[in-house]
Amino acid sequence: MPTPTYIPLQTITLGSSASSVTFASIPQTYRDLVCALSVATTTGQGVKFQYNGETATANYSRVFMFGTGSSTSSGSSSGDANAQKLIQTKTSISTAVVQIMDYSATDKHKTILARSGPADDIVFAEAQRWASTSAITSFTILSESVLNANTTISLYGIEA
Amino acid sequence: MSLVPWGIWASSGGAVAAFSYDLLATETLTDNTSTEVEFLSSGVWSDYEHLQIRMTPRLIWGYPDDGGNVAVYLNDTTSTYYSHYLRGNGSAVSSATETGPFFNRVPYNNGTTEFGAIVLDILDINSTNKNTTMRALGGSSLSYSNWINLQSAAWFTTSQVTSIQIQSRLGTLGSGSRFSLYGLRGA
Repeated sequence: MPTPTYIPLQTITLGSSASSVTFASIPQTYRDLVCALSVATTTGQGVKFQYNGETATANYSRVFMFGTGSSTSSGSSSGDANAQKLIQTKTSISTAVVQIMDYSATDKHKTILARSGPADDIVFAEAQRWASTSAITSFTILSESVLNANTTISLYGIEA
Repeated sequence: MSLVPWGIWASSGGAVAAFSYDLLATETLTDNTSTEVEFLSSGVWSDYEHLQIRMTPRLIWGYPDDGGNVAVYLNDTTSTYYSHYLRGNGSAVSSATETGPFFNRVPYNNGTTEFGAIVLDILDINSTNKNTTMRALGGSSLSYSNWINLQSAAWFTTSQVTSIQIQSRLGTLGSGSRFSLYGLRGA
């Protein structure tokens, strides 16, 4: 029997600039989360996702690739303070879709997939791991600079 | 009228339109013996325009290399398939063609908590005048399996899609691997 899903959980639109946005008390009735962002930051840097307030640097790692229109590059990193950058942003508007897989599972590390990029700059894709078997009950979106006003972030739940 | 966030117009006074994105099936493996997970339409998929598979797989095989991936076949494994990938490994980006519907690099047996992830779209599944195409974003950030993949594939057949076989290309699919199938309705 088909089960309707991709359920909107919350949308946040910033009325003024902010350094972070938190989605708290995320229901555990879904298997995956999808987060859609339309975001600009005060400097052309990036945005991190921090899960359950976890600041242990060893638990975050990432691998990414991007294209600039004239060249491509790939890198990876781990151990950054608070979390790893997940989305590339710029002062112009960036769009991103983030897939947080198995967020409610308690027997798996979490894999997060993201595609992002300011269209007038680069195209960017990343896989990230949060090395914890804890279910994600909250996450905070941290700007490496400041999230501009009118940034919009929507969260959806997907059953499995 | 209000615009429901997943893209369907609903009348405030009349019948509400059907949801556009439905969970059809999920298979989570409980042992390490399977080489394939199969989804069958049984007529249900004719209600949908596109399918999406969200999976978190891992492979069981002994060789300490990272060449394993999953193959996603539509109806049969003998037709002509091609796929292309754009792949980053943490130090360089590469691209190539493969003569099969092969997706991602999937973590091999290194721990029961470590999985890859793939979100795969299969488009126009009921068309009988077009070849069927797929696209996927996948990856894993692990010391022994460090990949980000953007991929497309084509099944050079115009038949309606009625079954999907997800296979391990090396070894078996590991316990805890999860495969969820969703249908997206057309207007």
